[in-house]
Amino acid sequence: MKNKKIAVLGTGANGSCIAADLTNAGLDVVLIDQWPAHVEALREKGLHVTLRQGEIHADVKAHHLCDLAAMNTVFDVVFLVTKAYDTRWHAELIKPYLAEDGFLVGVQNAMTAEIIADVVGPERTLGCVVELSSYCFVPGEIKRNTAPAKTWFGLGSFHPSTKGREEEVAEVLRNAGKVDFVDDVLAAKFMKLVVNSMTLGTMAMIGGDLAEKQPEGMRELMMKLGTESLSVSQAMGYPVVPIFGLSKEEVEGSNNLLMKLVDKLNEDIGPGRGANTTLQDHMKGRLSEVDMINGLIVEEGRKRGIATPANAAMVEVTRRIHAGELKPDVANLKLAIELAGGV
Amino acid sequence: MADGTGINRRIAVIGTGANGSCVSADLVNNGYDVTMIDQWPAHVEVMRANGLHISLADEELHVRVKAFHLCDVATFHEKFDIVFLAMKAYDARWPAELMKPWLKEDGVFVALQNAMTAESVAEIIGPERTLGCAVELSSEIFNPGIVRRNTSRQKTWFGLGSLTPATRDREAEIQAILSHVGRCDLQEDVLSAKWMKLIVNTICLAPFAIVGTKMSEAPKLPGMRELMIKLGGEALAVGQKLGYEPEPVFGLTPEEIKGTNQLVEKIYEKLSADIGTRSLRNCSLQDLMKGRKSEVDLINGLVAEEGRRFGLDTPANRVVVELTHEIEAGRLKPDPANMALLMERLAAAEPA
Repeated sequence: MKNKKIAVLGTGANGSCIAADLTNAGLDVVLIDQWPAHVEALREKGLHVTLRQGEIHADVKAHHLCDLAAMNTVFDVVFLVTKAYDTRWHAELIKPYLAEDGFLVGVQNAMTAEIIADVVGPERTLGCVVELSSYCFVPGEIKRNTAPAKTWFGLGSFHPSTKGREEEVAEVLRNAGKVDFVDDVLAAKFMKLVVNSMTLGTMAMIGGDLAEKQPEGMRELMMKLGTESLSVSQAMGYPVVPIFGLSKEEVEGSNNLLMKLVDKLNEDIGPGRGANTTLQDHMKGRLSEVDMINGLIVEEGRKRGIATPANAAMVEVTRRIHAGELKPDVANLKLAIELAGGV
Repeated sequence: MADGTGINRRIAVIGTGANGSCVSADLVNNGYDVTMIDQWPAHVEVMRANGLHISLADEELHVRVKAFHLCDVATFHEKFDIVFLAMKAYDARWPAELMKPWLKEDGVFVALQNAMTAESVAEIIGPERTLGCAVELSSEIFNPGIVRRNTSRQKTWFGLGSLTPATRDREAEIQAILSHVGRCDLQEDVLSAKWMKLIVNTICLAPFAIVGTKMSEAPKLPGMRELMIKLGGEALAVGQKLGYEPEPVFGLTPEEIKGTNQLVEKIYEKLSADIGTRSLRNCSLQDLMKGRKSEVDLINGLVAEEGRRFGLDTPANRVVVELTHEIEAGRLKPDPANMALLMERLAAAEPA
């Protein structure tokens, strides 16, 4: 493992958390990122991660995307930690620098594993579900909400050519959190997407925090979103699988699986997390992942004749916020519920 | 809106190194709405702070431009009518993927690149939104925000064309836009035109970079002209196997290229006359000096690879790829002394 050449491609909040842990574990790791000011800060001052439990500093090797063509190297393991919509172009960008028997693993939300497989080949990727909450507004400075002990990666092969090779990636990733091998990683990723469809756009549109007491109607809206997403997931053939380190029994024994997952997520992240990933996007004026989360549910639902009014409402409210027509505000909840045709 | 000039179109140039900057500056100066996007942060910062400076032989241009980092793309709100891609040939697929969501449904994507990137771009963007283009424009950049353009506007040349009949009606507008940068011809068979340009590139990019001299000096080295003829001859033969026809390029007429048994020399001479003696370092030598990957794998390497597929040996192109790789790996430096090494390797590579 010490000899493996590792890259973290996309070192925003989550990528930086992972990169800091791998660097401090003494691994040969480089950080590559599209935000120039962040890379400059990392070069000058190193990477600083603040946790509730303390501070982590890492002296990292940080690079701009344009540096790749001058690096004259190939990587054995690359973690892709960009927004889901940045998957395909980053996979194309790194492809010439990925070892023949190397791995490019998307540590991301949404169904990016198949996109990566499409670009670099299914024999050079694994699926990964991630539970890690963090944020970054100041170059070089990260706040990590989820403690390393609570950080969870569900890693799995989804092609015969990679079966039995999961440990090659797990041994690296284990430095940043708990790694479980999951049998049906695509189903697990969809399960996470179901949870994301309930929590990301909703909390972002009201500018809220999952840990706080929710305004009236929010839990119902989340349930409606999750129920739609779960129906679509089942119609697509994904079985219900445990994620976030829950046991099979805990998942099967629950009479409210969806809220159980949301509560587990909430508990692991802990209080005082600040803006979730989608709210951070809104605050930065950047595109959010909503089209690849709620939007995917709408699209796949349409193909299968499943109505998804709540997910369509989340896509629409999020679009209006990005377009500047709305600001994140608790009043948006009423609008979303109306657009969803009630909860 | 569509008055034929494209003046109201929203244009992006992705990749604003030397050539992308030259194109952008001329379009901005002609009143076009141009968004420049580049991967070199320092270059973007300087353009934002000071504008873009282009030095031509007889003119200094200073242009206020809209310059963006790659990471800024996710903050855009409006899609583009036209995207020009002006990066290295190995940077074709990823910028096409990056810009794909930002190209309008009825938009046009044009790669102004060396090598055969038009088809891989079309695969991503869709052939109904892609035009191919061969380019002759020599320029250099070593300092952020400051570009030296070697080829004058009169000598700059674009060979533009469709990959599918569906886009024929889009050509005139792009031609009108590119005509502000140089002469733009519509090519009947743009892939053949791009291969013709690739033949020239096999001759005068990597070999000249290996010996590290000016474009006007390199052919004077003993052995260089013979090597050039071999390189071009191999590339021409492989192109014929691939079905590429001799296509008039660089503004030569069909009569000028038909029936010549020295096609390779003819187009090379036209090119070197157009660039003149102003070019200090071709793009491959600039890459090697910057420690960056060159395009050799997609030019000489492509000739060797396709040749292998058809059972054609291409020793000259193989040797040029080999020596360029040694320079890229840091085991060799660009130097006129490498000419002897080139000849030695070629003698060993050629069948007795």
